[in-house]
Amino acid sequence: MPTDWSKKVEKERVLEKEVAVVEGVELRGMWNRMFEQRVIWDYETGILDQITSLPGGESLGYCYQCGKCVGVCPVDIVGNYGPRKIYRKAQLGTDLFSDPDLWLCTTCMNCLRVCPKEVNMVEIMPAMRAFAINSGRPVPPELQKAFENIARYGNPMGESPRRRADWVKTAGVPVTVLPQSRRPVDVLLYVGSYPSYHPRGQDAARAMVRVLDRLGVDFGILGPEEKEDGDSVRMAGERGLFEMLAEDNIRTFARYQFERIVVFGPHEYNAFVRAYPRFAAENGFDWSYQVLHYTQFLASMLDRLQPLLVRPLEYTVTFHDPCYLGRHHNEYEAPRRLLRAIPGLKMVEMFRCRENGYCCGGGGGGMWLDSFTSGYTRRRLSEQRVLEAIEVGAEVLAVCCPYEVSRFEDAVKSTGNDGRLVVRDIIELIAESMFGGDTK
Amino acid sequence: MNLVVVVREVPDIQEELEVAADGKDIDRTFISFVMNEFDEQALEEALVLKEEGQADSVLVAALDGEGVDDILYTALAKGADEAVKVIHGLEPPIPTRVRAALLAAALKSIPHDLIFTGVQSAEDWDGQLAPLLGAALDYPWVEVVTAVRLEDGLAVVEKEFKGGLRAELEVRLPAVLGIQAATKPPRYAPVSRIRQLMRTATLKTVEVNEMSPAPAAKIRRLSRPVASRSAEFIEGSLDEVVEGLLSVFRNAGVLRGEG
Ligand code: SF4
Ligand code: SF4
Repeated sequence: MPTDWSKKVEKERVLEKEVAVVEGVELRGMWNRMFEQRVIWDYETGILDQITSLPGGESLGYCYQCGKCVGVCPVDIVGNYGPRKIYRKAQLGTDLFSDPDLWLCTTCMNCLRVCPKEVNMVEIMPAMRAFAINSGRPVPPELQKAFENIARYGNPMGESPRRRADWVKTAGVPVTVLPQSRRPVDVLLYVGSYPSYHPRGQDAARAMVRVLDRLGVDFGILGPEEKEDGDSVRMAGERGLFEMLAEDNIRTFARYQFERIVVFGPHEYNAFVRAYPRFAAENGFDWSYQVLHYTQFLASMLDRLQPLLVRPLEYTVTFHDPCYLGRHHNEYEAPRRLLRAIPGLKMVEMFRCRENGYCCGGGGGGMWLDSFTSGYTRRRLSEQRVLEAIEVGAEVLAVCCPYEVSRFEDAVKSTGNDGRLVVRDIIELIAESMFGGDTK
Repeated sequence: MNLVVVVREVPDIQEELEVAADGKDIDRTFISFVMNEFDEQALEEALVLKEEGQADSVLVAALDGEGVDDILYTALAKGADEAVKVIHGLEPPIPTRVRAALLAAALKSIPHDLIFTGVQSAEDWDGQLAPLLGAALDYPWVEVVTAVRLEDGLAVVEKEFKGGLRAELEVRLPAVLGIQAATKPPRYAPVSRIRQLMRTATLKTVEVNEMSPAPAAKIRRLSRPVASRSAEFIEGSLDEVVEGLLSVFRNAGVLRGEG
């Protein structure tokens, strides 16, 4: 229920008096403001009420404008946007449902980490976007295309679903494609759209299966039956599409036998650990899978992995914490343990790391809003991050989220740092130390 | 003011198309279908007119075919008021003349003031549906329309000619318009709305039985285009690529001197 502020505010009392008598004590005007209702109630609260009445939008109303989020919001750092400003704009009557600000949040969660009032943009923004989309407001064209592609082909690039496992042909090791072999496996490797189709993602996918093969892991992939997980789709506000994907994926998983799921990406991890269980419970599906991010899975068998890392990699490496593995799931160690296990490799940390890691800009639908967002920021978030990596003298920027390799490689080029920094998925570095290769 | 938008399905070219065994059609076994992109433009233009209060209702109509139900539900999710499927009993591919005759027969039982359709469709690039439908109904028609405004009893339309030339025409209603582009990009249809409509909405059907046989071109043979000359790739450093391009332009006679 939207609050009817007009009933709560006694209009005649909203003014400054030179002298007021409070409980018999005479107060001079310069002191008495605290005893009067503040002028703030004169604002039009319709938009704020509309947002806080959405399921998930409630906490925007808690903001008391302290500004702690200003210094940590990755978008605010390169632009003019943040939770504090969102609240303020709503207060001033901006129709945020039709405003560019609706699409800028990457749901990186850094504001929630510092907010004393637990204003939760990770829930507010998806709720607002869902409302905007379902009430027919325009969706930025790039995002609309990604939604349409995902709905139709199961991947944001609009590639053929039948070619989802084509990368396997050049992997150099046998890969069990479950719909073909139909045998039970220990690990279901959920590959994800970017490792399946993006050329640099495929490099990581091939590295992954070679490493798993060498470790003797009994694994299989879903091949053409795998579909986009839908977590970023959900954060971008397309709940109906998320539900459709979740239903399809849950049904597909149920057709095969495996002990656990290992995912390539932190967004898939968030989907399968947080969103799918809730969706399954609400809609009468079974969901009781053990889910691991690949860095967690490999870190759990480090005793077997370490002896296989024979080739020293004499690189200075910095690690970019993915928001959806770090802040969202508190996993900071597994990727670092893997990197430290590589002989010769020297680790340096960026100024913003771990809990305060800077967002690459790809989360919350940002992956499909690059040109849109760049119209409202001084530089791309990925470019900011690349500059931070160079600042600490890194030669290699190590990542473990499939969104990031292409984002950062583009940013290395666009900031004119070609040749100074290379971007590698951790699994590529592991494969290089195991089999040799040519990172640099 | 009732608008009718005639839409159709076309093969999704995401998957490779094959020529069927009889050599007269594409192999329709494994392909899926999407809405013709020009029909999406036509639908968008009609929806905008309704939103602006220039029209009262938008009805979408399509000849029955594979994937047509999904297309009609999507149109409803975008804001069309009604969807009608024309049942006809013919096998694809259906030539444009026959399409026009079937649709003209169906439109007798569908109230309409103005009919929109895409200027052409990817299946045959024939581009004749609007004229043929206009002829069959004895209505005026305009092709390659890029903007529509409604004034009492008239549609004021912008038509595009070659070389960027535009004309503004006044058309008596009822009329048929072949839309080239809507005034804004086609809107998004939220999946939850499509799915909800699939459960709750009904697609109306109109059956067309009698139809005077329309003369139509027959497909005798379908074949893949043969690559005659391969493209030239200019490789090397940026400077080399630029130099290569310049020499291509010079040899083609479009650039003189050292340029
Ligand atoms: S930290 Fe929280 S309370 Fe403070 S300004 Fe930001 S959103 Fe508002
Ligand atoms: S979640 Fe991240 S991007 Fe969104 S408002 Fe908070 S800090 Fe900014």
